[in-house]
Amino acid sequence: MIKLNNLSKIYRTDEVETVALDNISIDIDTGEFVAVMGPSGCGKSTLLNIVGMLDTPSQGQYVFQGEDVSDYGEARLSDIRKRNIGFIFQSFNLIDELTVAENIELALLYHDIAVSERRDRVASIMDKVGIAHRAKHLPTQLSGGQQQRVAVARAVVGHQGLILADEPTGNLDSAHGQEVMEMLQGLNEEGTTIVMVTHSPAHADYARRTINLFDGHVVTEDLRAAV
Amino acid sequence: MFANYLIIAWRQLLKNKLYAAINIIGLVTGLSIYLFGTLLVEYEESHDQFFANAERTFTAASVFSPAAGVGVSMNDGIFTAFGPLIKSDVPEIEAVARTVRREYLVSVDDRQFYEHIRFADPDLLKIFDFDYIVGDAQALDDPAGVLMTEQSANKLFGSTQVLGKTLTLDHDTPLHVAAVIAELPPNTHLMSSLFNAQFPFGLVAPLQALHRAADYELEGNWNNLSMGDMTYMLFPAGSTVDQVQSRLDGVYDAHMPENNRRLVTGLSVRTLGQANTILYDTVGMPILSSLKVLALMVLIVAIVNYTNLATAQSLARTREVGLRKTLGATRKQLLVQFLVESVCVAAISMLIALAVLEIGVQLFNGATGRGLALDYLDILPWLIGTTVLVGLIAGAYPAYLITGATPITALRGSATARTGGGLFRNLMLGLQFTISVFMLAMVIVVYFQNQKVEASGDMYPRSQILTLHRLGLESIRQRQQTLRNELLNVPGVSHVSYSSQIPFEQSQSEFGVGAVQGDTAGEFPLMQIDIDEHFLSAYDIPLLAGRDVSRDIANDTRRDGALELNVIVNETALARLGFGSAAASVGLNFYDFPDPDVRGVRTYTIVGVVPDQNFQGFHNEIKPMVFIMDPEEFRIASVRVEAGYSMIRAVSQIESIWETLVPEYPMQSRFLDETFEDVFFVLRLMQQALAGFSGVALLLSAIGLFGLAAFMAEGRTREIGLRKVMGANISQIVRLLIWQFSRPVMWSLLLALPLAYFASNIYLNFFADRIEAQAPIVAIAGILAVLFAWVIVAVHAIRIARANPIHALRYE
Repeated sequence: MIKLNNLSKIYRTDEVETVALDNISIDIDTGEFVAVMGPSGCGKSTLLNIVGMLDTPSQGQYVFQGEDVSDYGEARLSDIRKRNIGFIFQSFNLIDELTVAENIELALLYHDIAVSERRDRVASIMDKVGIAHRAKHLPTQLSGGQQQRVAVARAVVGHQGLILADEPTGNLDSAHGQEVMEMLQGLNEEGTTIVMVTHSPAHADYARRTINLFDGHVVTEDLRAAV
Repeated sequence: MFANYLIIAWRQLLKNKLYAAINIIGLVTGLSIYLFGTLLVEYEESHDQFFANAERTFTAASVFSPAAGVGVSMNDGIFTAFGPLIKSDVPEIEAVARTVRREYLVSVDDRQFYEHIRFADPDLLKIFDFDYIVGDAQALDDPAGVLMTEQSANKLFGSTQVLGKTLTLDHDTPLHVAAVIAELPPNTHLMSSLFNAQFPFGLVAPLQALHRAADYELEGNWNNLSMGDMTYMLFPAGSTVDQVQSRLDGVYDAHMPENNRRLVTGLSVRTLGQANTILYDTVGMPILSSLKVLALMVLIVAIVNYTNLATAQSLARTREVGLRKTLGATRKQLLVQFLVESVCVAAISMLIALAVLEIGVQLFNGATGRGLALDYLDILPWLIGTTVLVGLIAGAYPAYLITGATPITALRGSATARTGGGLFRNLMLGLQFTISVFMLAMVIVVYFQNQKVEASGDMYPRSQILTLHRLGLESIRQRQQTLRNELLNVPGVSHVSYSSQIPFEQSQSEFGVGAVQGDTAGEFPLMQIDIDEHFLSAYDIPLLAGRDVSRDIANDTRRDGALELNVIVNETALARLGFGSAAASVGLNFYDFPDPDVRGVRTYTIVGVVPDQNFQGFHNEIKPMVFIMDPEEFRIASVRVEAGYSMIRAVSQIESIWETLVPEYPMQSRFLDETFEDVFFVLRLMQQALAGFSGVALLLSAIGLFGLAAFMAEGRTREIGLRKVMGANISQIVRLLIWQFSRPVMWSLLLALPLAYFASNIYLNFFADRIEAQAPIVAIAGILAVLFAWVIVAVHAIRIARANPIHALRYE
């Protein structure tokens, strides 16, 4: 599904040149659950941003579902992104002015989907993540775990095949963190590809493969047998 | 998707109530003023359209030569002698009606009323299709007929069914009612133009009645132009202003007497629709267009307010934008979302503004007798267009700025994003203050100029004089001497003087004179005031040289046929005559230029010289003037009551003397102050309107600055906390914040002050006597604006600066 070939990302300012990713090559197959670990500043977020098409590589090739997207412009990337990729953030990134249901619906808003079908899909996904009873609440009225469940729902409501999660449990206590991890695991078992950045070795254990990054390099790749 | 935009827009408003309130209050104010200004100007410019012949009815104005020094650029009428000439020279013309307004004592049985009567050619009723209650459009064919409005009929007779009933003018000219018409709506120049509002259309009689009552010459004359006395002309359908203009140019060229061409350089044709606003043109001040521009300026300030606050505020929403982009929103979709929001705010503001306007228009109509109306069917496209346009303009920049961020930086919602659009915000702040300071400077200039103009009246004992009118009637003139003797017996009355004119009265009569007999090249117009021997002392006018006029010296009084006359002149007259000092000029002669067929040249001998005074006040240049003793011309008595005596008691005693001596005419009196106030009225109105506009603009700018300062200060909480930790004290931080906001305000002064300086010249040029300290006065406006801005910013700065740095650092 994802093929990164000799990919580099270099940030330049007038005086400083920072290499965030240095010539890395990674393959991720459809249906995989991959954890990305490493210390702060190792390039985890940059990697996730490039994979999520929020950022473009400086050098190298990015092939997404057999399509080389390395040189695509913002509009085309945005179009591929919205059909294929769901995002989950550490800080949830829900819109405070919208209710739970409306926040989830937001992910469908920029697709060509009829209102009635939007409603149906939002309702069923809310049932699935167990947040239906909070549909009319505003994000600020929810606990952190509930907010992240809304974010997960939003990430998959568009039937996205790939979920990119940037420290999804970072702002949660361990009980809620585990809850979210189990939800991700469930999605993976249904066939969703997941790439997750995390600091927690315990949560990385949910993944089948862990990629360790250090200073922009892939240091190790640990493969685990299926649980 | 649209519903989602609306939801977000609405909740965004609720979430930030302070900003929403500031935005909406600002836009409501801006829109209300803009709508009202536009409606008022439209209303003033769309009068008389309900008359069936409005499209093909024209009036003409007389254009004065600038060299004539008349003080106004035009008169809204033409010499009455033109009327019959136009009718005979222009073959296609269908009707011509001259109008002449005079005031008469109207008696009905034993009741008496002073009424302004319009005397007109009978064609008037062919031109205007009045709505007749009784009688018909032939009413003025009867030389003794009179037409009146419903209201006048009820006032005079207590009924409208009064066909044939009699009323008498000045006790000797009977007229009978030939028609009563329904009351006219307020939106006709006959009721509401600046001039006619004082004397609304009530009674109309044929010019032949004026001929009987006052020997008025029916063929008209070449020597009298009075504001409001218009001539109406009915042309065939399809006639254009240009066609009518060329016809009238022909009549002017063929018939205008040579000596009048120096004063009136041409005729200017107007449609009936323009009859209402012609007076604004004649004054020479662009009053209506200024009103439009000012109203638009206020709206711009309000829009800038919105843009500025929305720009600052939108930075707090970068995260939302980033998220939406991540979810696949295109920039176009986001632009639409933000523009929908600003159009929503504009729509809410428009609705509130309309509510404000409904109330405002009612109050305004009540106070001014106007008929402004919000005809929604008519103005709906305009209202919607304005709403959308205001929303789009106001929201364009913030939408552009916020949707430009890349999703990553946007999602980070980093501090760097907050500084975005800083230059733009400063530019906008500068623009707001440019407009506000400009208006403020104008107000201050106008205020000081008006003070100067009003002070020019203080050289006369303006609060001590009561003027009595209608003394020109032959029957009253015979009693002048007795009246004077009796009035002098009233305690406190020190002077009683008769004259043809009083200071600040806006009328003038003049005749040509020269220092050399028969030398027409040296001829110039001399303004003539007819006075008696008590006038100069009654009005505290000093003599620079020579003596006052006296009854005991035969040549001091003008008599028909006598070719020698002793007169008093002012200094400007001496200069024009080429004479030397006042003392040296006493005893010198000058001459007039009469029609040789009528009489010989009269020799005027200067017996006294008075200083130059702004006798007509206002904006008039000081003209060469001559004071002549001519009892035949006396129309007004000036009764001076010395300070320390009760004016009210004196007036009641004067009244009882009048009633005894002149029982057949009710006394008509005015305080001199009131005559002066008439002159100042328009100026005060301008000043008040300008003050209102600039007050609103300044207030809006202040609100905008307040909101912006609050927002920006909040954004700098962390920086300020750090500064405090490093040892900055409160006053240093307050100064830092104030300085940040002062810069755009100060830059705006560079633009606003010169602009105000030049614009105020337009106003000042209207006056012959101008304030000198214009530049410092304009500078005061700048200083005031900066101080004002400081106070507003300081409120936030102090609050933020006093906060505990620990809290500040925990921020984010």
